[in-house]
Amino acid sequence: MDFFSLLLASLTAVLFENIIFSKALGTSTMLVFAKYPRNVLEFGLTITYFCLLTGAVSYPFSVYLGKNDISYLYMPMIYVLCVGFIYALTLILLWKLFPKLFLRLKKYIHLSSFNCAVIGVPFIASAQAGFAHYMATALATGLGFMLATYLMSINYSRFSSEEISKSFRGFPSAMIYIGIISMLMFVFQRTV
Amino acid sequence: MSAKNGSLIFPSADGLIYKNTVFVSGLVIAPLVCAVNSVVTALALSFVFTSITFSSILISSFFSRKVVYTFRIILYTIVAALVYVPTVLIANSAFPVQVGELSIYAPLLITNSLIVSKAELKFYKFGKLDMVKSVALYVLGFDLAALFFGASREFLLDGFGKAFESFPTFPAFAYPFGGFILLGILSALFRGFVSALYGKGDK
Repeated sequence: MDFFSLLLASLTAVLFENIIFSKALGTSTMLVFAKYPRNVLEFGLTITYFCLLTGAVSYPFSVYLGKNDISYLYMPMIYVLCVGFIYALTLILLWKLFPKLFLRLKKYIHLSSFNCAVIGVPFIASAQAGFAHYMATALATGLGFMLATYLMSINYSRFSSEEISKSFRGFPSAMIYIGIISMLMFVFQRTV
Repeated sequence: MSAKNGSLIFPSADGLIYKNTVFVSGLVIAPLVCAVNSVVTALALSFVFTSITFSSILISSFFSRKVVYTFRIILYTIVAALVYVPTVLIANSAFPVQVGELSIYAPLLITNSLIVSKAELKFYKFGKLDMVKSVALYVLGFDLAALFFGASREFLLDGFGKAFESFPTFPAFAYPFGGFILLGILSALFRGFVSALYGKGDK
């Protein structure tokens, strides 16, 4: 698969096989981030960073250890160790090299790393399809998360509107909103 | 209700109703939305979730607070990944088909929000006994919500195996978008019910 085919596949995945709208992975984290519309780009890039590094670090383990009959028992542990390693290394590097950025990010960086979207990367990416495809899935996961967070953040305040029935305010209307976007993407995917 | 109020039997009954893990807090919803289409699958999910979450939080509570949070959170998920091994072996023998249906959502429970966030922010601020009660109520809240969600979806999809033949079925609810919409509706119904009953549902 050439570079442009991979890029096209990644963009398609960002839109139509979106990590939130088609797999619901990291939805609760996304709902937390969507409360802060000004920081969506920062949150999205942080998640994308963790997705890409998790993809890069977990790939060799998926290839060499993920093939036997009992791999489903120990692979979650390996993936958690991969994410833990990246998380600790990132925090140490930030602390040493960019102390101001460290102070700003440390409030939510654990949410950006230990969530289903990031840990889900090695579970949904196919190691058999090769490293480029594996990383394309990681990139699509991160960008898809950022897109979903943006779509939620632009309407977040409306979920608590006085015009909505009291029982539907907040989480219920957010779920219905995600459901409608998810349905639109499903229909587009089937049509295109 | 707070940990300071030692006279209460349950230090934080919020987890069961007022801050229900699924319907109010909106946590751990991915497996429900994408994998739970029936009561039995919900039962399998509840078993895996209960075992992983309860055991992990309990075991992790013995880690020293002196270890910085950066490393504690890694330890919590490592404990959860270890607990996952016996849990999934038992679940595979009890619910072989349903655990297959849960697919990636079963191992991903090792990073669920109760372990990663709530444990640190809430449960570990209680004494040991109160913590156990509080975690038990949050977990029970999830289990009941999952079973209710599974039953509702199964009813909408095939009327409990055509038990209600005259009732129309809604195959669209099998898809993730149907799961999101159903979760939104059930969550609103739950809040309305709690609000009507206790006047406290919309906290």
